[in-house]
Amino acid sequence: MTDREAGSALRIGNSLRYATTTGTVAIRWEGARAPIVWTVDAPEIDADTARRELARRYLHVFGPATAHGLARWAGISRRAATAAVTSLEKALVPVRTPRGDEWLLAEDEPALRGAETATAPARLLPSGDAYFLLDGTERELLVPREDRRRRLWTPRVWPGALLVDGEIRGTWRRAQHTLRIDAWERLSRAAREAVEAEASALPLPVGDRAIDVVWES
Amino acid sequence: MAASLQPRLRVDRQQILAFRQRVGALDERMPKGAQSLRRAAWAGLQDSMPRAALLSLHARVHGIGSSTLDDPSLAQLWGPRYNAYVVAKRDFALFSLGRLPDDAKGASGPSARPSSCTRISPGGE
Repeated sequence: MTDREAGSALRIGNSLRYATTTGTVAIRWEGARAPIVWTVDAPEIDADTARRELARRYLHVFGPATAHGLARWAGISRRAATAAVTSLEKALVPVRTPRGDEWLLAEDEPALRGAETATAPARLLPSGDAYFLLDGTERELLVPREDRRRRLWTPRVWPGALLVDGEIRGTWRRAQHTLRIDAWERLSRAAREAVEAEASALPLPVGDRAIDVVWES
Repeated sequence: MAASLQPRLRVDRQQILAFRQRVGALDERMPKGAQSLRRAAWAGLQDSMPRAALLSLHARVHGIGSSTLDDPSLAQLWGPRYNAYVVAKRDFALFSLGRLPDDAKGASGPSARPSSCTRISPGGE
């Protein structure tokens, strides 16, 4: 049953997605049609435990970070986010970052202290990838230049991000078998070859045709 | 909650980005398996754009194919900010029940939708 059919039968219109926070609604959405929805067994953990673990996940992947950042990312209230982070306080260490004082999972401190710049040659991150799913000053940390931030976090559908040697160095969009790259700076031949290798390896259903890479800048 | 204790650690931008790339497996792809799929989806994989979650997996794990989202260890749901997400099936509760509004424990609905929930939506919704 699609979400529209279920919403119509329940006379709740498009509100079915808000039932997801019960933990009992799963979906299957492949992009072109309405999502298929069904119910699953209720979780065996309570909401507070689930939220605390969600906060732990956020702090690991987006850390150092704040409770306000958790609220924005998860789409929960600041009060709820603050309570979740506070419940983890004994497992956290305060860290001074260019954005101010933020929290880090204590178990991640050695990794942060020892973080060297061993970077991949290139990655094509899709629109909405966690690495740049950021807001406000979080974006300034990742992409210091304002003109470049405007090209990545557009008012409409975001493009993908071009991660080359540890920095976002451009954006990309794909239509069918053509992948267009807007590089923000001149890339070395090796970097361009790494990007094109990544493009050719994307697990996309484009039939037997190879991905064509078009460098727009 | 802002960090209110005296920080004992100061880090710069490069350290933070390197750390995030490392914990996010963007420095080196992991071998494919249920464990690495779960690690790649540790904070969920947003799937608002068709196949975005698949490409996020591909950026982090070797051997991802066009049907990897059918892996029995993965599930799809309306996750953070009510966007489509792919998560490890065993983590389903975190990304669903973990977002249950405080004032709606048992009564979730549109009125519980946070006003900030669209601010970091890549679809510009």
